[in-house]
Amino acid sequence: MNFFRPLLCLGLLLPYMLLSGCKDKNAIRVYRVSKVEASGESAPKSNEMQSASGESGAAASVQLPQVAGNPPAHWEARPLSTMRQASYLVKGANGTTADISLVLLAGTAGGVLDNINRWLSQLGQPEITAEQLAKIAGHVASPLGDVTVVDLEGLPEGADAAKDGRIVAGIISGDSVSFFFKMRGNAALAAAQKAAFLEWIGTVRPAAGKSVQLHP
Amino acid sequence: MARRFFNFISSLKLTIVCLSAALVLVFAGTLAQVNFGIHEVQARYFQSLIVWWPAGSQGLRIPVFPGGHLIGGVLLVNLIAAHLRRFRWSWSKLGIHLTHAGLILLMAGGLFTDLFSVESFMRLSPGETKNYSEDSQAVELVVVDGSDKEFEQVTAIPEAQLKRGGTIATAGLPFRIIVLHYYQNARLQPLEHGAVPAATQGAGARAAVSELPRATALNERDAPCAVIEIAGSGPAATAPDTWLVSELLGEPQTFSFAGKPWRLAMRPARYYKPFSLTLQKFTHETYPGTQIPKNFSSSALLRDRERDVSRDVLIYMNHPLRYRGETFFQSSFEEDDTILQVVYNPSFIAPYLACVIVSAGLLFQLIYHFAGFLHRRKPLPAE
Repeated sequence: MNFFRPLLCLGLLLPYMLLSGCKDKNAIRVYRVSKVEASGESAPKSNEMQSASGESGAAASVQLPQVAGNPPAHWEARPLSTMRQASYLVKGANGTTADISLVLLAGTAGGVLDNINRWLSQLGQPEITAEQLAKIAGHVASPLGDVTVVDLEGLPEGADAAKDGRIVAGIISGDSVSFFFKMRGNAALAAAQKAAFLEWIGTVRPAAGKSVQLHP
Repeated sequence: MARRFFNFISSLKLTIVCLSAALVLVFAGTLAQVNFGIHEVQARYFQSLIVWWPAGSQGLRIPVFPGGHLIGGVLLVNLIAAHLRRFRWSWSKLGIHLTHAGLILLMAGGLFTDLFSVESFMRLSPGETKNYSEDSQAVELVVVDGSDKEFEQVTAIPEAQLKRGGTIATAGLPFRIIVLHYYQNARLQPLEHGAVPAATQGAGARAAVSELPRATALNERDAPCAVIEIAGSGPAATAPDTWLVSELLGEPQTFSFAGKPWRLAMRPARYYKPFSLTLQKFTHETYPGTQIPKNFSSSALLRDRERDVSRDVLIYMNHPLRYRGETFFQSSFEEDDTILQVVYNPSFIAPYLACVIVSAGLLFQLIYHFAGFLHRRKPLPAE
């Protein structure tokens, strides 16, 4: 008689108990829905979806730092929305465009790998593993911390190649706040703007003496 | 010690004890449905590790019996352990091994279905588009920040958190929500002379709440409601504002906090999808001269922008729509509205596969022994 079989039985029983105990659909969900869907549908934007524990006694609100950066002069500033702390549009030849944004979210907001896989799916590309991510990811130092940077390419079916085809993005995933830098647009234009985008990431810093709530 | 444990966990006695306990549990659960209704009994008796008995009103709970998950789990491990203990490879036992493997898969599939499947409903009027389904039992309190031009930020607080009471604080909200009262099932009444309003603000200031016993019939459901307080982080200078939230109020209530407009509503819990359905036409045919349904079907437009899908689908009895891991069944209808049952079950294939494996095992065992029997049969002596 060896120890293998009893241990295997214990090994089966314990995960079962854990699985059975972890059936928790009681987490608070925070998500955004579009106001302007002409059809009346209101798609939640899963990229901004997050969960919160909702435990009693937790902080009433999370204070997120207000940030400032030095964007290139040729980036056209766009109106900010609830989530976007920075929003720009850059235009190229033949009507090509790329959208640039900085979004701050409380908590880890899904982590680095999940968010990169989400962006890959937006480009119609298969998901990658953590090992594959380690091979393609770069890093940029910024006053906010180390930014994990990826350059993803792909054109989803039916997408407009003038406005889509490449995502260059950076993530700082922290315990209390996460930063998402993203440039999505025409593949050639995004490639041409990549250096300026990375340079801008390096300039984004906390605005001194200011803070802003998550949902101002 | 290890040997004793392994002998215990793989013993037939344990199987008998578990099966007996399951019998008792099913019997007790069936009786309890009279008082608690089927959904509450499912949660308390069958979807739990322990059946708890609430002793008194102080929140004290005493464990009285193993719940369905515990009994099923021990049975599953017992079956696997017994198989490991007695496993000896031979062709003559292949059918038995397959049958056991099928049973293990069946039980594991049942557990995963119970843990991870979600059942909800989508009600559509002709021309209406929805990209969410709604829970038939659970409700949620939603607090909506509509200050952005493009988006609304929704904070959805599940019913269980309201039931727990106390203070709810989350990153999505700049204020706290204090649950003052929670009613599992209640009726709202207009204020009569001398009656106390349920809340100080909104519709609750014009209504009184009277608590009702739990709805236990299959065609009934509870109407939960709560009285909540919206509290800022600073010290309260004035009496706090309280609000009554209930599905029965219909339209969301609005309030202002820190200069921003907010909406407050209790509604069935929603499950959003990355695609939408637009009901184009609902057809309801009955047998001539009767109200007996002959056929009812929903013609809908399925749109999925992520996958660039836009196609017509027809959903009718025994012909569901399967898309992105969810199954849309034609469930029922009300007037011109169609009601689709939406089932997400990541392990739906498990019982089919288990049945195939068990059938293959039994068939192999039958054929193997029948062939052996024919082989061993001696020819009758010649006359």
